[in-house]
Amino acid sequence: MEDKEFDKHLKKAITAEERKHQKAYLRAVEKSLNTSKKKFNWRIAAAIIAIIGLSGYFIFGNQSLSNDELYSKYYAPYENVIEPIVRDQVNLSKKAKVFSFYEQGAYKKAIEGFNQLTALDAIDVETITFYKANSYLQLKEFKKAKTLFSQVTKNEQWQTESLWYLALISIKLNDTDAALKYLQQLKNKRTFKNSAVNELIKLLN
Amino acid sequence: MSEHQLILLLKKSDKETLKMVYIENRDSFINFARKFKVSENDIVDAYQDAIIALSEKAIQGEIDCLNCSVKTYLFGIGKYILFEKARKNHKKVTDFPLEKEDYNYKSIAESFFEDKPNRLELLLQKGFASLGKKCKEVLRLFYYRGFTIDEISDKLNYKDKNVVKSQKSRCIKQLKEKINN
Repeated sequence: MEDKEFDKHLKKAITAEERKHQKAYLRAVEKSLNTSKKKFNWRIAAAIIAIIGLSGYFIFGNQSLSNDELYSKYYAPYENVIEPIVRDQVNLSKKAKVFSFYEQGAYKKAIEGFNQLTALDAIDVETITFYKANSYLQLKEFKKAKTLFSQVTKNEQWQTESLWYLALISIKLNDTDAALKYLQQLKNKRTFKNSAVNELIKLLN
Repeated sequence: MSEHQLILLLKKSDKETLKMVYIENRDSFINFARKFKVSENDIVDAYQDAIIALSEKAIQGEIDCLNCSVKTYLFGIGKYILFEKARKNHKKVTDFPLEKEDYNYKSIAESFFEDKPNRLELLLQKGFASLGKKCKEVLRLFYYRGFTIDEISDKLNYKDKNVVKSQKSRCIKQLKEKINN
């Protein structure tokens, strides 16, 4: 095939793939908006609790948050930005099925699915490992999640995201030194959750 | 942020800016599109595609000198995407009066939904998705963002453009091997 002709097809294929990612990203944004709307009433309740809490804080002195509380405050599961789950779609690909389990919170099934995905399913190993680690984290299997996130940090693709979760896991496992080490690496990179990283470093020190 | 800065950031494919534009205009687009009697889910779906089309136009340098606001441009594309999707799904939408428009939004929306990918393109898409990060990045910059070899060399801190050239050739070779197996 002529190079020009091949280039034209490749451009179209890459554009389709990029659009798929953009769509997944925008769906994740949309989902976060809906979640925050649902939480509206809770915000008022949370504000009242915060006022009571703050009064207590000033009355009873400067007590810092426990590691469990810090973990709960900063942890949020990573959204599916890989495979948009299209409504009413009947014939889902193998990859879409696995990510659909992930989105629905069926993490055990998602892990089983991730174990069966290969490059033939149009996904790279790092992405599979990253989402598998996230699934273990959701199931509170911190050690397994940690091992997988550590593997992913060797590759740039999900490096910052994985460092962030490794820091949170270390907080949960009460290993403050390790958490600070990961956070410092993130701070040096300055590309991911800058303000949260700085806040956590302050709180842990 | 000025409109010019906004376009520059969209041109750089900045995700946070895309998110900001999405959130800022979402509710007014939904209100605007309700008059066409389409479900909110369909409106949101069309709105997301319009945002993607806007970002692609920015990347291609076609809105460097926009003579209307980004919002007007986005809504113009969004309106026709909504119609195009409704037409494809054989759904009815309320007709809208034709207005004088700064850009040919109809053709932008139609070209967004060009012909379905052929078999080779589907294979290439699958093959591309399974390439390593470096290959994906080089090919994405070249084919999607329209960077020249020199620009890729600068962006990815390669020693010189020959390294980029050979990296790109290696990636295409890998891709061809994948689709032939």
